[in-house]
Amino acid sequence: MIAWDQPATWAVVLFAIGLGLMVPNGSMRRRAIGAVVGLASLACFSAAFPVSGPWLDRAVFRILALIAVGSAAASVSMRNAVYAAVWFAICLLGVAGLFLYQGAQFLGVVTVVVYAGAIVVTFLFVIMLAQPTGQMVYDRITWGGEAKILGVGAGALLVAIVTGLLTTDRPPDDRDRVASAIAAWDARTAPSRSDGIAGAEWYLVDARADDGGLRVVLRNDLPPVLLDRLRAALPHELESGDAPLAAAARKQLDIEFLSIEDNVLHPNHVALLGRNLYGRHLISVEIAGTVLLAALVGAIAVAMRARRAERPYEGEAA
Amino acid sequence: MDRIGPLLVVIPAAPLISAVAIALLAPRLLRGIREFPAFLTIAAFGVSLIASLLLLREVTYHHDHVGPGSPSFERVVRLWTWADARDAYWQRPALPSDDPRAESPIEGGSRDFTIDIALRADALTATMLVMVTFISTLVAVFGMGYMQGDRGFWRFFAYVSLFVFSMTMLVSASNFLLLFVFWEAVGLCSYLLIGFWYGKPSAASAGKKAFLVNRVGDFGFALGLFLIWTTYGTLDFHSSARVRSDDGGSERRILDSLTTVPAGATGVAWGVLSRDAESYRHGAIGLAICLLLLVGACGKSAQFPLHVWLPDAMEGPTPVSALIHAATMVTAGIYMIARCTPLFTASPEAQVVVACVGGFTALLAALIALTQFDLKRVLAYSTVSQLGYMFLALGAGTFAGVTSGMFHLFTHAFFKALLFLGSGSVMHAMGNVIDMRRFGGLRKVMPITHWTFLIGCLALAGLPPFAGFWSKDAILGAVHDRAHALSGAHAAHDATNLAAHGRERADDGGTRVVEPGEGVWTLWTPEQAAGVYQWLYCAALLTAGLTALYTFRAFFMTFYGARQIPPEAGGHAHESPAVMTAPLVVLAVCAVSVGWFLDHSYQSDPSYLPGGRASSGNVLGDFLGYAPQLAGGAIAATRTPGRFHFDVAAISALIALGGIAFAAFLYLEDRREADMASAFLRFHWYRRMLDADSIARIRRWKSVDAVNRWADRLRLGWLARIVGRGVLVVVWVVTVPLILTQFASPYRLSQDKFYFDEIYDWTMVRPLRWIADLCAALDRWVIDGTVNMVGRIPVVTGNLMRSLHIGLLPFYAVSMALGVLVLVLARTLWGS
Amino acid sequence: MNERELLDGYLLLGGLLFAIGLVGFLVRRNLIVMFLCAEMMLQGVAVSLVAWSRFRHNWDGQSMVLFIIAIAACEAAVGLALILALFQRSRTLDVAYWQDLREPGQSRRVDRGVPEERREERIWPRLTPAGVMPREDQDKNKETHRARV
Repeated sequence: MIAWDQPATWAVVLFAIGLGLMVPNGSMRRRAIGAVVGLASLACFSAAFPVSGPWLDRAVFRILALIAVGSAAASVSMRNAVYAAVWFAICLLGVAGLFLYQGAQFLGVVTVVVYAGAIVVTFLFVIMLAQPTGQMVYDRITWGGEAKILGVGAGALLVAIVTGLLTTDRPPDDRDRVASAIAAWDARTAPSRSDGIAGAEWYLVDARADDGGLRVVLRNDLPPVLLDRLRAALPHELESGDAPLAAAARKQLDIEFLSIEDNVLHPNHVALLGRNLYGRHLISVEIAGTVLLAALVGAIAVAMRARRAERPYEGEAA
Repeated sequence: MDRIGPLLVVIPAAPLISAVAIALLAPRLLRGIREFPAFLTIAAFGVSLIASLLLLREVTYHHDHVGPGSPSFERVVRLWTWADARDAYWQRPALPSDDPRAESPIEGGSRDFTIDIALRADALTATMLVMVTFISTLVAVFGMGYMQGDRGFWRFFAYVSLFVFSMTMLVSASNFLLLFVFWEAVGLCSYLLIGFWYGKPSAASAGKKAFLVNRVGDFGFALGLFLIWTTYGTLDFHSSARVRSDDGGSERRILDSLTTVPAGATGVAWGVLSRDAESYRHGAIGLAICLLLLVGACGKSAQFPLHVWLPDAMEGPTPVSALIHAATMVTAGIYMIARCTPLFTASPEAQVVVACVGGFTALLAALIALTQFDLKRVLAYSTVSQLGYMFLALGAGTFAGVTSGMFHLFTHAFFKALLFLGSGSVMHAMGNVIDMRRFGGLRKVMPITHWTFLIGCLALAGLPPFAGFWSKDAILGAVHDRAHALSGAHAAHDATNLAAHGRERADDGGTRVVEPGEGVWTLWTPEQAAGVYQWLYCAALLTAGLTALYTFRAFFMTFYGARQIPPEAGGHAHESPAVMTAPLVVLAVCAVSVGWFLDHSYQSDPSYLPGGRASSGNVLGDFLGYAPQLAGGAIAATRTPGRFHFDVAAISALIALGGIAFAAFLYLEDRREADMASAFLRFHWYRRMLDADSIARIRRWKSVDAVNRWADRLRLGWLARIVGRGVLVVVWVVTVPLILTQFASPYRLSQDKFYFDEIYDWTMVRPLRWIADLCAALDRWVIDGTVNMVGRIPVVTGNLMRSLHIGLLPFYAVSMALGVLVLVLARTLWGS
Repeated sequence: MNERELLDGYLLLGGLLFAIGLVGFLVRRNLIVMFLCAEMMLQGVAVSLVAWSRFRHNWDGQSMVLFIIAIAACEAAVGLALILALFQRSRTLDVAYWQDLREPGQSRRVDRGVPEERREERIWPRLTPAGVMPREDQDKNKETHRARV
């Protein structure tokens, strides 16, 4: 059942062990060991999910991922709440970088500005207000063995599910078949082509076959000349792979560009996001604004009422 | 159009208006006018009485003008159609039977369930209406004096008006369902009036008892109606023709009689009680219908075994006892059976049962009445006994029997109302004391009451020429004739019958002669039935003597002997006011005269009426002979020229005289004889044997003494003592059971009403209560318990869940997370 | 690095962030840190949404992330105010303190195996002193470093 020869399996196991060691319950050494095990698990993850492409691309992604996950783990494992908040800010920076890497520039910026800039600072304020004495006894311990095992087990189960889902070989759908056909075509003809664009499958958005024929959607920053070539070559290329798909393609082959509104990688990225936000999600935006206002008022009300009724701490673990 | 229709409407309408008006106005609006309810009621009853008399005249007029071909007369007035369901029932055609005696043909086909609010006018109804309205008018007048000062004055008159409305509707309904409705309505009024003083527990329970016992009878009656519906397909008494109306819809029209079916009629709906004699069901179904109707009649008319409610009903105001529980309502059963004569004639076994029930009840109630000390209770048992007489007459099954039963109903209403009103007068004077042991010698105190009561007693005892004599003699004669007709003269009777009305019917090759309608004996032979009737005749004679005995026992105890007035009377015991004595006098005149006024059989030879039918010699009997149920069919075949039975009359009169004389011997002057008789009947002599005194007395007897002395001299005293002790032991052995069964002595049996109440208590009431307790326990522990357990499930579950609420937020979070993950995992592993 | 690989990598990253946040939420006892971990879970979701948005070329994913940020801001405002109120009431941030709110009749969870605090582990945040070298605490039992600052 469990494939121990796969790096993904080891990655999950090591992830669980590392996180379990890192959470604050033990000595510094144990946590250091935990950190090492966690790094090993990340290495296993990267081995389990190989990526292709130029090395710089890969390196940037790996580094950003490492920053995000590593600082998240550090944030969880810090005994001191201030450190945890700071590590969380770093994690947010990593996530913002990942957003940028994905082409979601606006989100990346917003994450840095709003999250790291405002929310985390609020956290730090509250920590400073509420916890003047640094690490407390309840920061040093967790719930004892069972609780920690349960919690870490839940997290590991989640990761295992995600990993299992991602590594399980699934039957290729139309898009995968078309993508592999394009990749094959690309690899075969790239040296002889003069357009200089490699990796044409990057531009594939969707491909769907039905009774009417095969419909392929491409991102619209592809050179139009390549489109014609692809149209000519694709049915032939599909012949070797998938017969029904080839039949559909011979029947009718529509290769079209994605509309500008749907292109998340369009240069006018922010404008398009704003159009979507204020068109499709206008009511949601209004509601979110109202919620923000209500939260603001509520937060002030709660904070002001909390002045009275002070009770001394009766913690028995102290 | 003649005046019958409006009259029929006016008769019940006047009391109804009175009842509604009193109920609406008297408690509040017209509270100041104390006498308003009484006057309104008397006026309404007076209007009804006048209308009834007019109706009687109309009916008589029509009787004189009926054509020779149709000796009957009925007029049905349809007010409106109450229920109309088309094709409510599909009647299977009767199966062809090998034996024509077993089943009579019933036409098959689709039946409409149509109930018309239809009133009828014929001889029976007219008689009943006159009787009811007359008595109720007098009772209302009496009640005005009797109920004076009672808090429920208006309520009393509202109830009585409602009762008279219901009763007049009951006797004029021309439909079994309508009859049943008002049958229940009079029961309701009876319940209300028995429990009139509802603050008194005995009155409240007596009302309940009457209502519940009546339910038993009404249940049988309702079953009988169902059976009639499924058997005959209609509940109407009268036949009606269906005429297609012009606009195509079908419409029903009521015809007075079906001698001619008008042109254009599409069909005829044969009424239950106006069919051809041949078309009534014999056999099991006919018998079942009759017996179920009899159950209903027994409930209403207080016949064995449902007679127990009537004596308790005396808890109501005395005018009510006079009106409802003596004169009118209790005769509804008699009326119903008389009305259903065609059904009963078709089942002679049912008639035998009716006669047996009647005869037995008559004797039983008379025996009980002998020892009661409550004046009203004596009269109540006397009512039961007289109703038994009427049942006996109806059970005789001949034309003479039925008419004599109705005749007795008619006369009995007068003298029994008289007696009850007289007892009410006594009660009124004695401060509501009714125990005869506590008053006596009221002869001089209440002269008018005394004389009228005497007339009532003589009428009840059946001495000539008072009313009761004539009707009782007619009944005895009818039973006597019936017994004779069935026994020795059976063959001859058959022969004449056949010659007159017989009809031949081809039957699987042979020819068998079946007399029409003169029912078919299947269970018993006519000879056996004749024996039964013979015994019933003897019982009726014995009852006549007992009747005289208990009647005059009550009379002597009340009005003769040493003057004795209870303290409750307040020292000013006096004759009742004129408003109370006037009805007594009127009723007394009727009780004297109505018998010889109506019965002429003793003075003329048998005569014949127009149309060639034999006259019964009785005005009322001849009048009733025009009622369609009595005019045609089998019952008419038993019609013989009226004959005064001098022998029967002489015997019954002598027996009655003997009863009176015995009562006088026992109760007149001092009551030593009565005490001796009651002591004898209590088996006191048997108990006396065990007394030390009596043993000593025995020792003092000369012979015993001599034996003793002789034995002493021979030094054999020990032997004598042993023998004496042995005798004593034997006496004990024999006597102890008798002492234990002391309550079974004749006197105690009679005084305790043959323990019917106790028997019903132990066989019906208590088992039912046990079952009810069981049901209550089941309801409480099983059903409620189940419901409570279902209600407890959330509590238990909640308590289980409570243990999960340990207050640790991470625990909740980890539960949630694991739950979600388990769901996700399941979806991943086994999801599609 | 094609689209599919990018998607897989981001989804894995989102899952890891979510799992770490979940573990932190379940394991830590400091209310503020638990809150931080909740935010971290939101980040994991945001990463996944952005990845799907890119893969499907659908703006809704990114719009959702914006809403997540908005809601996170609300949450931070209200949640932190509540935490502050709780702290003022109980003078502690321990979530175990609030197990007083458990059902009646339940026993209280008592901490077991609290690790000994070792000296070398006591590393205080060192804020730059304004010209004066902060002295070592005189009273070892009172963990009040701010008094010196």
